[in-house]
Amino acid sequence: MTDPAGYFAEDLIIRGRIEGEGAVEVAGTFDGPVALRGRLAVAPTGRVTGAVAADEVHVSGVLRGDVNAVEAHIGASGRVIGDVKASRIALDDGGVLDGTVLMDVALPEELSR
Amino acid sequence: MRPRTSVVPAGVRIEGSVDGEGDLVVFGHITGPLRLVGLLVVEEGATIRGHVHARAITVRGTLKGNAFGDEVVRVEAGARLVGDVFAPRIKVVRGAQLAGKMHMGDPDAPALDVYDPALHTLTGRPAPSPLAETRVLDLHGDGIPTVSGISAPLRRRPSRSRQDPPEKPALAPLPTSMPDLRRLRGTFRS
Repeated sequence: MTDPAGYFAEDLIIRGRIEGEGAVEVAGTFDGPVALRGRLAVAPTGRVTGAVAADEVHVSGVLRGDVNAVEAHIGASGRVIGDVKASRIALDDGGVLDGTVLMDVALPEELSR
Repeated sequence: MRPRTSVVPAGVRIEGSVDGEGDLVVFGHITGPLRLVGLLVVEEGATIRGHVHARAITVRGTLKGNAFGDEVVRVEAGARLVGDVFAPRIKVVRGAQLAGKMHMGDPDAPALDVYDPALHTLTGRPAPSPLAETRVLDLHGDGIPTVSGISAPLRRRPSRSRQDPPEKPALAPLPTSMPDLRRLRGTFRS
C-alpha cells in the first residue's frame, strides 16, 4: 500500500507530541510539540499550540508557538503567534505573524560590522 | 457531514491522547489513549500502545492495550493484539496473534458493516455469510471455542475451571508467641 500523507481531520483532538518523518496536515486541534522531518501544514480549521520544528511549515490556520523550519509559509488565512526561525519565509497578504522573525541575513561587508 | 478520515502516516509517532468524532487510520505509532466516535483501523506495520475506544475497530498491525468496540472489533490475519477486547461482536481471522480476554455482549446485534480498505470507510454492505467467515479459535486448548465468527452461536464458557481461583498454597502458621528475646540477644552478643 502506498504511504498516505498524514491528515488529522477537524474533529480530531490530540494532546501530546508528534515526531517522525513525513507530511502531516492538521485540520483539527493539536496541543503539544511537533518535531517532523518533513512538512507540517495547518489547515484553515487547524489549531496547533506548541513549538514546531519541521522542514516545511505551512500555516493557513492558527499556530501558537515558536516555529523552527527551513521554509515557513503563512497563508492569507494563517495566524502565527510566536517567533519564526527559518531560512526562507513567506507571509501572504492577510496572514498574521505576531512574533519575531529570526533569520541569518547575509549583509554586505560594510554593514555587517 | 462526516469529517474526512484522519491518517497517521507510517513515519510519524504520536505520544499523547487522541480524541475524535470521525474515523482514523493509523499506519504509524501512537502511545496513549485513543477515543473515537467513528472507526479505527490499525494498519499493518502500525503500533498502538494504549487503550482504544471506537465504534468499530479493525486491527491489522499491533495493539497493546484494551480494545473497546461499540459495534465490532476485527482482528485480522497478521495482527498482534495483547489486551482484552470488549465488543458485542468480535471477529478473529486465523493467523492473528491474540492474548487477552474477550468480552462479548449480545450476539443478536445487527449485521456488520464492511470495511472497505480502498475507501477507508465502512460501506454498509451486509456482512458476508457467517458460514463462510466463521473461524473458531480454541485459544486455551480446552476444547471450548473462545472466539467464534460473525454470527455463529456463542458458547458461554462453563463457570467451572477458569472461574475458580487456583487454590493458594497454605501459609505456614503464624507463631503464637514471641521468641525468647533474651536467648536471642545472648547469641548475638560479641
